[in-house]
Amino acid sequence: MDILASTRQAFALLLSGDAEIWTIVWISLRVSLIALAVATPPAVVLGYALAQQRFPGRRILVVLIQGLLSFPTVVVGLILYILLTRQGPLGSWQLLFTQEAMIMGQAVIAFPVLTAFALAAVQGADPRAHETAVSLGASSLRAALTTLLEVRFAVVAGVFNGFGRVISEVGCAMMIGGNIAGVTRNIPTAIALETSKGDFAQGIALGVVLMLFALSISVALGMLQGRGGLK
Amino acid sequence: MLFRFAAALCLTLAALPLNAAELRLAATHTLQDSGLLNTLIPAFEAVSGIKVQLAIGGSGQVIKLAANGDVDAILSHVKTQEEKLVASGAGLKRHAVAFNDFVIAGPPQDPARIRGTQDAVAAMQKLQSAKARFISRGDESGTHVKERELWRAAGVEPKWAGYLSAGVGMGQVLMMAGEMQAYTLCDRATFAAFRSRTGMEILSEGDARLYNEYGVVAVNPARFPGVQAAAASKFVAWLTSAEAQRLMTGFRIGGQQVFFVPATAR
Amino acid sequence: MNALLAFRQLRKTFGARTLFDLGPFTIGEGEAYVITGDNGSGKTTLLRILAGLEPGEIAGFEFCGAALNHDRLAAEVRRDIVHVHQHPYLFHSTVAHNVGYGLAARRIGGAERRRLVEAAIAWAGVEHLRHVPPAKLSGGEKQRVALARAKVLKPKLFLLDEPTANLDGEARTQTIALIRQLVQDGRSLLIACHDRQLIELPGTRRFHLDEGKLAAV
Repeated sequence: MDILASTRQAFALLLSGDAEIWTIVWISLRVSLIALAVATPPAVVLGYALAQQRFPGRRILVVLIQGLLSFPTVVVGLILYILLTRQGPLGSWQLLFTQEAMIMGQAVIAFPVLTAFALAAVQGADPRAHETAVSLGASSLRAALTTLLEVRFAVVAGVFNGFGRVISEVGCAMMIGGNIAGVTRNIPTAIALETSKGDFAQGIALGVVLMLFALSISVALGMLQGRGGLK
Repeated sequence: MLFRFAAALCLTLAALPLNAAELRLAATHTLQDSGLLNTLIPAFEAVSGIKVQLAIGGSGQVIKLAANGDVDAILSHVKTQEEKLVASGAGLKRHAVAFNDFVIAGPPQDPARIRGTQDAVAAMQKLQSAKARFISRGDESGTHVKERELWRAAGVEPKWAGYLSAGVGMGQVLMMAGEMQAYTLCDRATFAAFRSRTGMEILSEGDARLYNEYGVVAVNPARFPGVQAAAASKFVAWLTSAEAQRLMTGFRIGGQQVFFVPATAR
Repeated sequence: MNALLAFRQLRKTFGARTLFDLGPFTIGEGEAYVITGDNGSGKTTLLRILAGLEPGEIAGFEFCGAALNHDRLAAEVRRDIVHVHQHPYLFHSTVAHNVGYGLAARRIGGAERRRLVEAAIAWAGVEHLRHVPPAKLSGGEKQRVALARAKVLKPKLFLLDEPTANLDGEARTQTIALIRQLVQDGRSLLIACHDRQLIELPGTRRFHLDEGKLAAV
């Protein structure tokens, strides 16, 4: 197999607006963005609470979240599979091998990343930010929102990092998505399949898209750092 | 200490390619998922003293590996492609190894009512008109090639919402079909191996077009000088020997014979 | 003199160490107080306790004539007391948003908020900075925005912590001018400071915090 020919073919596929490829890209984006939209609010609330509040079990939770940062995604897939299978406790939902199952998986995978970043962001916030809000008469909710707003770039950096983790994740997506064409086939599972079929052109084309995503994430993170929001 | 460890590691790595008693074999999902390879490979290793490095893929991928000279021998089940491989000069002679048949499996409720339809093409047409949920391997494997053959014979373009192209191995497709209460085309051996886990049933079988034959091809050392030609030819000879054929016909899943030896073998 | 805020005893300890243990003290309505003391004497902590930003042991606490439990000081009194930090923290938005922040927290919005914010900005002389990102302001400008942000709330008591520390020249003069105006307007203030010019501001009473005790000078 000629690498040059495959690469040329790959760019031809991308530029010709090949429907199959752009469906895969769309599914990837849709699943990952919804997963982040689902996971971010609770993760930010938890991250804020862990940074700002003192309650029993807090230390344990912080250690747990840090441990979960490198939690193997295939184990997330395994646990969700066991929960969602027909004989499993959530079997009646009939979610296995659907986009919803993939969204659940990616939300679970992204959650510790988002929480850890929110936690670090709030811990890194100037303590005067919260005090000033309180001193000016803000309720605890408003003071919390103000503090988060003050470190918004660091929180958003967490979202970008979470996106980077889930958009390229293959193990869990394959296990609970099933790599069904047009339904649960996203960029990583499609690349795995195309390579196993020995069809490199589509794999390269999707790889290019994935690398463009990764590149945009780094650029965006670099710009966020430039804004001085990361402390 | 660390240095000695690194030195030992380097020596071990350097020694690896020198170990000639190795065979890189590519085989299909169905042979792996049915469990047959777990019987055959250790037996061959014991007899020959050759260590087998196994790569599993769909037949399409397996044949590509041979065409690129990435392995020493292959086991697959798309006869026309195996013969093309030989004709191209990348493979030596093809030998038939074993056969069984494909079955159309589905949920016990059988919503498309294909139970007892022996004509596989008619069964496929019923699946289409019922817009039944069907999971395709979708991976250029031998099973996928056979499935497309059947759709073509039925004059059906499989393109309804319930037709799902999964792109995973046979065992996983069976698990998915069981989960989603869907139909699928499957070789008899893998079906038997997964039966208890999926709750699926054989709903259509016995059509001559469902014949499924496995072949072995050694990669041509004249084309790819790197291949372990001696190990590959030993493997081919052993696989078509009476001893290996006894193992295959003696292989049972739930008390049932699932592989048969072709009269034309050898 | 009407008492605005009074306590019988106020103590701050860190473990076995006592930072200060103050006897009866009263802040009169419309009065301005300057508290001097060496670094580490506890001036900043005293202001923070009264602002409800830090716990302290208070006995016999009264605010506007009502006896209050100190536990409830934070919630009930906070809206009437505004604390201005030595290095004021401005939110990363605009000067106008910062000045309006406390009004928004009090659910004062729309035209009313805009009017009050404009008046406060004009009072502090920072109209030209209205839409400047706060990070670009000088120390003196930040202090004046912080004073406007406090004044706009019409609090019953201002707690100013070293308002002229790290300021010099024009910035210091302008800040002192604003504080002098608050004093002349009859606002109640408690100012912790070292600054001689502030200490000698007409109309203020001076106390000195030393060795954990507060004494009139």
